Amino acid sequence: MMLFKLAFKNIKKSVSDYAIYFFTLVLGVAIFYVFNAIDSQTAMMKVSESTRDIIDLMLNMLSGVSVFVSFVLGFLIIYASRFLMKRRNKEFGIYMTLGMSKGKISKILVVETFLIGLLSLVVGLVLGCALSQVMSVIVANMFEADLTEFTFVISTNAIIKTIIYFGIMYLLVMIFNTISVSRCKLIDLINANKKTETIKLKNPYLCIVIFVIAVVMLGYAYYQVTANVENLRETWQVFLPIGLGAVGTFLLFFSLSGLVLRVLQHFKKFYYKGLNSFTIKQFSSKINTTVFSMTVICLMLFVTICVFSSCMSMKNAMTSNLQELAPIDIQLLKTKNIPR
Amino acid sequence: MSNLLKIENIEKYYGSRSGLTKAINNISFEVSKGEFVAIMGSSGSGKTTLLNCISTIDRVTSGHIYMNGVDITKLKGNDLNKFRREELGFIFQDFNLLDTLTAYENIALSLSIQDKGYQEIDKLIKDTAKKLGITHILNKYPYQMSGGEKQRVASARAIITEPKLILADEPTGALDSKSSKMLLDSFNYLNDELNATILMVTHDAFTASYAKRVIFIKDGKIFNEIIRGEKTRKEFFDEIIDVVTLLGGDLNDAL
Repeated sequence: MMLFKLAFKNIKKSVSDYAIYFFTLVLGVAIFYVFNAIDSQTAMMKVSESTRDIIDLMLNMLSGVSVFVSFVLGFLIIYASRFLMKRRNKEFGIYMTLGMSKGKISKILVVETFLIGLLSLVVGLVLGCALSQVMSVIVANMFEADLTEFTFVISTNAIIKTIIYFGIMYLLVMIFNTISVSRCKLIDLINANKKTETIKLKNPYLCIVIFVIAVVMLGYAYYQVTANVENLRETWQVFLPIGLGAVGTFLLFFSLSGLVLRVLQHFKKFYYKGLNSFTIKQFSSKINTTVFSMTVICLMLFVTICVFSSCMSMKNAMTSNLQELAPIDIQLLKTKNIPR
Repeated sequence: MSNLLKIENIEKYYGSRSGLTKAINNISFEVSKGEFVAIMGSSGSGKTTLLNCISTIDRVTSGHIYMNGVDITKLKGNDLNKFRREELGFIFQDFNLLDTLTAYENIALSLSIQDKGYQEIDKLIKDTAKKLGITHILNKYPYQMSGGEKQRVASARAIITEPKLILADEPTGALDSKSSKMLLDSFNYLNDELNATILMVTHDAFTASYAKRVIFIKDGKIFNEIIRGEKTRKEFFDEIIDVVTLLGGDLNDAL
């Protein structure tokens, strides 16, 4: 029971540390619910037959995308929990010097994850229910549906799906935590704070080369999908620029910090003026350590912006198309009978 | 007096193929029950590594460490946890208290890990707190205490389980001279009155002069050993300073 108390106390006392993690989880749950609840949100709308077909198509796509979303969320959650674990290395070190077994430490972590998970699920679902009402208004607006019979809808299906998916994610987090606890050495835990982050000084010439390559790759990718778009005939041809763009973004961030530092250090007058040296070093070390997550964030933003804008324009194009093709409500055609 | 700790030809190497560092190079000594031993040496002489090996925080490259006849270098898993839990008490230079817990809870932690009942824990904490003079700060958090108070709370946590051996790594390293004196007086009290065995690592001659025996380490080897015997602390301090000067004078000889 002491373990349980300890776990609970830890969460309570380190609220600030946990707040970001908790917030991430709540948002994740809410978004996931909203995504999966569109299904039942749209069911009540009065829409025409053809629109219903489009909606069904959209729902099919959404269920596929929700798997992707759950993967992204899963990575995010595991990443966040690892970050939290690292901050607590010293604490685990103290537990172990006092003779707590690794099994017990894992148990504390499991209890903590469970508590946080449960709380975030509840809060996230409540938030999700509220958000999905807003979402249904947007969707209805998009399909010009009749919203006179608007009711507050709670999708049990989506709730169950969310609980199952997040349950699996939390289970994964628990397993990951247990593995990393069982792997760590006491001497590293105790000295965790004393160890400074190893600053890998990258070779400046290599940085320049990589930077140039990254710029070329990005430039080529964007040229392919914008100015040269007429030459894109096959579907597979799209993947090349996408791949190049992704790798290019990563390499850009990879080489950026080293390059910027090198270049700015050359201008001694600027570098040693005021707090410049401090700011630049901080900036470059931040980029250095978070290359991967920055790349992912950039790509995600890119995807979001593209998908959002193209969806909106697609919808507009389709409705205007419809207007043009069918300017009137009923059209009767009579073809002349040609005698043989 | 019987042997509590017996260290036999231990060695500890660090590094890779390119640069091998012998942090401990064949050290052997014994500690009897009820002794108060200080290990002295300049920084980089391997004294903290030695303590880490004895405390099972780190592993030796070769050699054996026997505690009451049990080879602790061979301990694994739950035996190791049990050993740390029941036979060792740690005091660190930077206290290693949990910031999220009060002094009372920090001390209680080492007992609750042993699955002791609440009433017993409460009684033990109150007793120990009185002995170390920290009753008034039991409900404070570590960030509300001074360095000396923190170190005494850490000491209380280390001794409350009545370990066979108390290991202290530069316990006065982060304290001012007044707090150091108070802490060392409480060490003496533990040693004299409660018959606790203390093994302390330090680079400070003043701190070492409180011990009954001082072992000097240089470059991973035992350099010299002096025993206090019937001398006063002042005489013992002068003697330590003499050895330190002989050692190369790298140490803080002030105070």
